[in-house]
Amino acid sequence: MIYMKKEKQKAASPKATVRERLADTLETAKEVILDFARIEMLGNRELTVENYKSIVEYTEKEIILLANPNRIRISGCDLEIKSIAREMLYITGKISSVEFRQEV
Amino acid sequence: MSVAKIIGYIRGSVTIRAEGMFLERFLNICMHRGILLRDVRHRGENCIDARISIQGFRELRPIARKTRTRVRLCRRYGLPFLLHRFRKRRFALSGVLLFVAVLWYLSTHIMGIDITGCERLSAAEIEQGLKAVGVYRGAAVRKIEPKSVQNKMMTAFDDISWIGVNIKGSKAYIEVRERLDTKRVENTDVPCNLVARRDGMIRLLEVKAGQTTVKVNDMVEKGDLLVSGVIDSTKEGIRYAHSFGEVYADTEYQKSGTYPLEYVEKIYTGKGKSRFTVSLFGKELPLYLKSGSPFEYSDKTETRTEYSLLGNKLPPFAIGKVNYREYTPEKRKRTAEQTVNLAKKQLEEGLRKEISPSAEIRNVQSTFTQTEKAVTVTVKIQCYEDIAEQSAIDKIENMNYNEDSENT
Repeated sequence: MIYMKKEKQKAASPKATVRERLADTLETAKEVILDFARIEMLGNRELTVENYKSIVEYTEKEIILLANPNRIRISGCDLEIKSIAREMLYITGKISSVEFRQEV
Repeated sequence: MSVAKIIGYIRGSVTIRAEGMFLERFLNICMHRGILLRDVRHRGENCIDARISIQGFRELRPIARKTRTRVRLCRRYGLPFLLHRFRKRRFALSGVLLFVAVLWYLSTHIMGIDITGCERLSAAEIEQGLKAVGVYRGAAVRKIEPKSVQNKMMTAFDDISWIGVNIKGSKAYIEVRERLDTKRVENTDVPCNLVARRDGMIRLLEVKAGQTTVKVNDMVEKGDLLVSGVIDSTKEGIRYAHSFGEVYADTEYQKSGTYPLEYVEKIYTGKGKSRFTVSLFGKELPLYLKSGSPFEYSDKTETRTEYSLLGNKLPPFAIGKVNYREYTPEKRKRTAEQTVNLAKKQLEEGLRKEISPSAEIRNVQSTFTQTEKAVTVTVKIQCYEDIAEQSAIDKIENMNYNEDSENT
């Protein structure tokens, strides 16, 4: 826990963490080492999020996901969750923006 | 994609509508428990539609209770539900199963045997032989090995020089090639005798090989030795020959019968009745209820017609017809002369069937004796024919002796 706290503090600071530096040196599979969400988009119609934590809000206009390092806010219209699994979320609809929010 | 769809159909899924205040929480818990939700779509305030597997739907209840969500089932989709519906319609389901079973049976078992190319051998004989080696109607196709059937058939039938076994689908095509002429192909090295086929008086000897033991004008009986295959000469010792040749003799065929002067004539009343039987898979099914003859006096004629459906692709079924024709017996008298003429005709006809077609008919005689009520007629036919018949020498000791003498 102490270690985690430290890391969180470090992540908040502009300085690169050990993990980030390690990921940069290894170059491959950064999302695994960093435990970041990976977002893939097909134009503005489809969006897949891998490695997210949970859904915070879900409406037709807006989906907010809890993910590392920030919350992800997807907004648009006619948003539909095509498939929902533990590691992957597949969203279709007209996506207008994908935002990362700092606030907890 | 289509494969995934088919699998999805087989597994089945349901569409649910979830209503509640904490739908996000509901979704998160589903996700964490590994319940896959698809096509999640907002339907107004605090209401979503989603598709879920049947297994997933069962696990949904505790989650729904926990998050105070009302889950309603909207649509069922897929094969499990279809089967469930069929569970009540037992006969419809059994019909489907029966259809599949019949289809499977008809396509994996021999349903027809098509024999071509046999001239001397009858198709029935070959069919019987095939049955012994495992090719018959209803035999499983995959158990039949054409090569082994070929070999077995060729050893079982001497007359077959080649046999082709082709199985196409559920039908066996048997192609037979017979030997050209059995007598010519017959092994001429095997020593044999010629014996008399009938009683007769020898008229002409045309012996090509072997020791003749009879002379012209000798009387011989059936089974008498005519030409010996064992030739014993003082110069060379005992030799064995495959004797052959023709021995022509005068033979006689005789047949007699007693014919009463009073006889019963059948006068047909014109009434008749037919009864039918259907035979399928070798089993007879009667299409009538009463058994036994419907008339007191009647002639019975049986006919059988075989039908093959779809060009022998299905097992043939036959319809048997038994026709009864009613008659009234009426006693009549005839003169001795009429009776004798009738008797002569009938007896001669019968005799001619016995006589081999190569025989030359020289004379037809008939005698009769008359009593008060009947006439006894005897017909004699004199022929001139070849009576020689080959018969094997079965003295094995002699054979051995022969081999020894050759060695020394």
